[in-house]
Amino acid sequence: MTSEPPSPATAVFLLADHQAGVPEGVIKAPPRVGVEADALALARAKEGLRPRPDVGFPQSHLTRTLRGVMSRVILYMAMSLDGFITGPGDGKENPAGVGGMRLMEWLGGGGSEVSAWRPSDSQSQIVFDEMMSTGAVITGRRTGEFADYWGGDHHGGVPIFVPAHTAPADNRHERVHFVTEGILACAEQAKTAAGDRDVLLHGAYTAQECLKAGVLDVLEIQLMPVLLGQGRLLFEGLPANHIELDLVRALEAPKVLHLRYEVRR
Amino acid sequence: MTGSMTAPIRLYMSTSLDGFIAGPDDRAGQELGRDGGRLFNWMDDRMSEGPNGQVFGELMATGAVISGRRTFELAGRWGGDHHGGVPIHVLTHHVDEGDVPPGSAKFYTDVVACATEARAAAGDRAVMAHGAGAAQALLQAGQLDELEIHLVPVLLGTGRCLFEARDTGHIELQLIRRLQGRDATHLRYRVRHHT
Repeated sequence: MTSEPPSPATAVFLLADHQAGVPEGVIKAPPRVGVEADALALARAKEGLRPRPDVGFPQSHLTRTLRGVMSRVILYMAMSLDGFITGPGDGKENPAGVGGMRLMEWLGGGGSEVSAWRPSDSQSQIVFDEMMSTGAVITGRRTGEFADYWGGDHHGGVPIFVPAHTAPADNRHERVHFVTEGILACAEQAKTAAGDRDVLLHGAYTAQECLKAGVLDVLEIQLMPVLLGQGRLLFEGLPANHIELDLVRALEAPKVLHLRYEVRR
Repeated sequence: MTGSMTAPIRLYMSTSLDGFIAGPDDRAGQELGRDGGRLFNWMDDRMSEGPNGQVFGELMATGAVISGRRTFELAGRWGGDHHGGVPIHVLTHHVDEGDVPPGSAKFYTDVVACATEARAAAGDRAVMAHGAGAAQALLQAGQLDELEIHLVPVLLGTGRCLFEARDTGHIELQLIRRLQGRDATHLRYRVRHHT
């Protein structure tokens, strides 16, 4: 252990901050390291990102009700710790990709009825039940087609909205709506249809589009304790400007960690 | 297997929800990448009594450091002392003749030798691993026992990834501790080594 605390405003991971007592002849870290650290602190202060008390969840967790006054778009996705939502080679024949079913293990055994997918542990049941009480679904076309649009009914007969460049010539499902006017219109139609309930969003590409368009309100991530190594990433092609999140809930289950983030406006 | 017998080799990394450990264009003069300092806000509390201070204190109590060469060089070789003068074991592909690293640092080209000697040096204390390159090399060699991920609630969008694609199959983990600090969720996973 060190006898002296490290100097302030210095990230110990990458920045040398133990220059005191360095023997003669030892290469010292360039002084700009410290300047860089100070600049970072200054930049943060300018942005108003001042240190807050170390109190865990932000206030919104305590004050928000489950259902806001307005419908919100909530992404539900199971993701490995290394960021994948499928294994490699996902396609119509194998929607989860090779080994990707590992990510579905937080759910129940599955079957033709929605109830067969309900998890057995109480924490995961909370998330599952919220997901199944949403009033509309937005899904990417890829995800939707892989799943054959869940036979036209994801859960409870709620409408399914699919952002698309062109609507297919034959749409076999009366509850599936292809929206060609863009992602904003798609989100708006889904929220209107959901009424005072939230909207379930599913699919990586569509999630990215919603994030970029500023219409994603909440991310409910089922963080799976596994490194898949390869597959389809949830977050890709996002702009370089940071999207700040607030962790508003964490539910720990034996097979999964549920992390609920609100997108900061 | 080693994890249950001796002190673990534990990766410490601040990571955005989208998997980045630094902003884009990390290099000398911009060690954390462009705007990558965002990932280290939680360390403003490192001397406080909350979870952030606890995790930082544990990091500073590790008995040896394993680092990738890239991280080591970006950090100005830590002036030869990362913390408390504990040995720094640096994984590298190539050592230039006559390049003697400063202080307690030593180069290794063999990941197993690096891990073995780091464990021996740390004794009953944990070994801190740091850097994406070291993490991947240790994982591939089955020498990484734990991951302490400081998960930061932000999507950076771009930068350097902690995990690069690899085709060595699933690596199963077990969440063994979760601490909620300001601006970071500290997730400690145990790597479930296959026998």
